Amino acid sequence: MFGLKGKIKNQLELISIHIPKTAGTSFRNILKEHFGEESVVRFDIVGKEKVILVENKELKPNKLPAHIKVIHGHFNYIDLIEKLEIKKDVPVITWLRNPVERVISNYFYLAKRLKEELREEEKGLDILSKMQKSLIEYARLELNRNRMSKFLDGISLEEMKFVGVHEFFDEDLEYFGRLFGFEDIQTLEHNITGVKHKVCVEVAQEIESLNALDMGIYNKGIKLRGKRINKYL
Amino acid sequence: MKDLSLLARQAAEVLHLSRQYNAGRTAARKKLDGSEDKVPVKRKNNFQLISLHIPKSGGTSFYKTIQGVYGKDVVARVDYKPYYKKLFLNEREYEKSAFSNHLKVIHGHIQFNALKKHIELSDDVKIITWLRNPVERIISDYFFVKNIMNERYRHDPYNPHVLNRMTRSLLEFAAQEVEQNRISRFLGDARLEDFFFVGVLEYFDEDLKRLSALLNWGPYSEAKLNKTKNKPKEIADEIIEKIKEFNRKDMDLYEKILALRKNRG
Repeated sequence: MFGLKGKIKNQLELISIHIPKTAGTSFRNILKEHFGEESVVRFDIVGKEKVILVENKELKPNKLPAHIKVIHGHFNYIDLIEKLEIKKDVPVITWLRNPVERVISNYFYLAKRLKEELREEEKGLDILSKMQKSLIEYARLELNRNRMSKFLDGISLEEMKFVGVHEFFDEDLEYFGRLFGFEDIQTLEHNITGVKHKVCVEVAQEIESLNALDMGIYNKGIKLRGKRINKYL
Repeated sequence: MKDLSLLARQAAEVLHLSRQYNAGRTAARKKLDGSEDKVPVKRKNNFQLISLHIPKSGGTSFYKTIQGVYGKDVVARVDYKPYYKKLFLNEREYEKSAFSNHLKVIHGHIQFNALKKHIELSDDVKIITWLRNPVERIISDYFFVKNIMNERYRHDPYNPHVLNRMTRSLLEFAAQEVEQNRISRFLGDARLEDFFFVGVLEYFDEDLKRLSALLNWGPYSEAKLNKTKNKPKEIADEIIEKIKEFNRKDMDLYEKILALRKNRG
């Protein structure tokens, strides 16, 4: 049959956009604890081909199993609504982080992954020193710029039910709990890359200027958060 | 109780003495072989032909040719790794002060200065090398290493996305100081007269024929040059020009060799 491939049907109740390095992995564990282990899945849309991965496996059928109520992972919102039939009342949530910190954290996380995968010392290799981008080379690549904006393309912060800010993780998590009616929400171990990486002022400034769109979103997020908190004062 | 404390004292004394003894031995050893002086030993050898393999300049194919001509028994791979300051024979660390007498030909990544420092050179040993267009050489090197990276990272479910974000571009690779003028650094203090033969990769077949005549090889098996996979067919002119700028010294050297080659006729 040559019919148009329809959008993927689903029974989703919550969409959690995980922007890399905004404390998303620990948040998924929290979602699992409160929505149910089986109900929450890792969901990603990757690459130019926009392949859908559910728990790191390519989704083959044109339907997301009915028991899946919550998706949490790396996907651009605009790609999600293109691929899945999303009902208007399904809430969308996300976490933001200071873009400079986020870029730095992203870089060192990927560097750690590469180091672990290539296991150079073991094999007497010396590839990464010449082939791996430096932090600033990484930041200058278009693919690595304004990632928060790319993830959130297609939806505004105001449209989302919850926008947490990484720098206020504990407080915002508590608010999330109240919003969704979860008692005793607790912060679990963060998936922190390790030592906080210090960079020189010039590098930090350049990273900021390379991520102007993300700075805009982040500042807006801080403002909205401020308004929300003030409402309760 | 008395016996135990005596034993303990004796044990402590033995330990103290053995430590002194070992320290003394170490000190003596240091004086005798001068290892603390860090003066490299010029390894004795019977080498007649030394082929310096500048990376990505047809060396692997050339190695197969000379193995065929001289026989695998008398040809060995010798590399020097500057980072480790160590010599390797057939990819194994080699610390002996002499090479086996039966070895006549060596070939490998050994920089000229390291060669002079670590290997005793007889008056009639012939040193040869191959040069390649420096820009082509770097492009080849970059994609060669990139292939290795892609290959080793294959099993990660997020590949190639991590590599897309984290791999240096050709220009970023070429811009590194360690990658600039690599040929000149490899050749170090070498003068043209130090070489019996300098081949140009772009004229591999012709130059190989000339070498075979110079060295009285007789018939030999023509090695097919390896081609680096996944190399793009065309690279933007601006990138080529920038790479040339980064390698001014190497470009000058290469052009000099080309000119000499042309004059030779």
